[in-house]
Amino acid sequence: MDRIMKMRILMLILAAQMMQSNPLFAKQEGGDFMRSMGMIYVVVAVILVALAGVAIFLFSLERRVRKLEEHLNSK
Amino acid sequence: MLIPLKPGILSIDQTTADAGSQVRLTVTGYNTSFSDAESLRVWLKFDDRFAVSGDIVEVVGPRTVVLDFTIPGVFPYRPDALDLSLVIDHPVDGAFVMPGALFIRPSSVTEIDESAGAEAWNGQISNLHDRQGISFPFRSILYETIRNTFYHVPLWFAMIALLAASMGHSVKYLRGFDAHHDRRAAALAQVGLLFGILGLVTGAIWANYSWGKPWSNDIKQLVSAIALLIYLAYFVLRMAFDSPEQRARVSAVFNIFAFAALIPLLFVIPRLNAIDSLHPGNAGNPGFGGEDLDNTMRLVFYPAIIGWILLGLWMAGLSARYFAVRDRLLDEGEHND
Repeated sequence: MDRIMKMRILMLILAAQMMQSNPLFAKQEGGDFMRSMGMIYVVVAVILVALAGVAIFLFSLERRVRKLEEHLNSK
Repeated sequence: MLIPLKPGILSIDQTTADAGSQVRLTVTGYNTSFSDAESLRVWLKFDDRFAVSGDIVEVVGPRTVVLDFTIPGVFPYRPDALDLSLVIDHPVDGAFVMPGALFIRPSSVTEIDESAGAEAWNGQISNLHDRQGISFPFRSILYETIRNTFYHVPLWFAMIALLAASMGHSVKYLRGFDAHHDRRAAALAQVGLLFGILGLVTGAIWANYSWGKPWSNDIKQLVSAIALLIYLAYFVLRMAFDSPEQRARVSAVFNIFAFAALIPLLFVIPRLNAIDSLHPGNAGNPGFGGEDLDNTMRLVFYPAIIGWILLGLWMAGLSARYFAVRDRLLDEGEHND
């Protein structure tokens, strides 16, 4: 259980860092941040969304596998 | 990401001019290096045969240059459209064009004379340089977001491949009623749906900055949203059955029909000539040519498609293995009870 908690905390920290660096959340500060440098941050946002989608799928799969493991251990 | 865009022209301070007048244009470029050029050559292009060359007045910096043009008062023929393209040739960066850069007021075009016009528009656009090394096309409106082609587009390609594989497993299931194929079909549809949603979201982000708003009711946005709703219904349908055999049979049939509906939605409706679209290659065949996707981009684009398809197959494989273990545990649990 301890290992799982550690992993969860690590994931939270990662997510928080992603949110800070994610231009979607930083949009309010600078007016045209997303359009700066030839709109390169639009590409950054698209890549982050695609990777986040894959990560969400894999984490949800991990959660389902863990439930199976717990089910096996409880037998 | 490190491959630069080809240089291009961002803006010109003047967009209209009279025929027979002299214009001084301040040109702002993107990724240009005007100050390094030993011999910059510039033209205003009227059509494939006629152009006027211009003079460099001052190179203000790497991205700004001031040009002088004398637009002839006499034209070789009366054109349908009176816009001139600005062509800049740089010995190292290569040549680049801004189409429709300068619009000539139609009222100022009075003199039409074939021979005199040909003589006045005598600028020869020749000996253009090619840029060395790999770079991606410069497209106004898109700019750096042309790189999204490596993420947004392969997601859709992968979605279609996964959903096709899913349908294949559904057909196999109906031929032998092997639960293995039902699990594969469900897992593949799951990842296909995920990629479709990601394609829609990444498309909305891109559209927000290229088309001005995230959702423009573009035909491809609409049909892909419908397609995703159909596949969402597939999973709702799967949840509605208690008996695994019944669920597998009904959802396999639904999956085949869902893919059959996907083909006209994604491959026929967007190609109809009557329907306009903001996507490239609308009304007709998709735009996989010309300036939108050149050979340097194909170098990354095709591996990206293969990569996303393989990633999707692997993810679906993991999910299918999970389903297999779960089903076996459930079976054993029932026998033990």
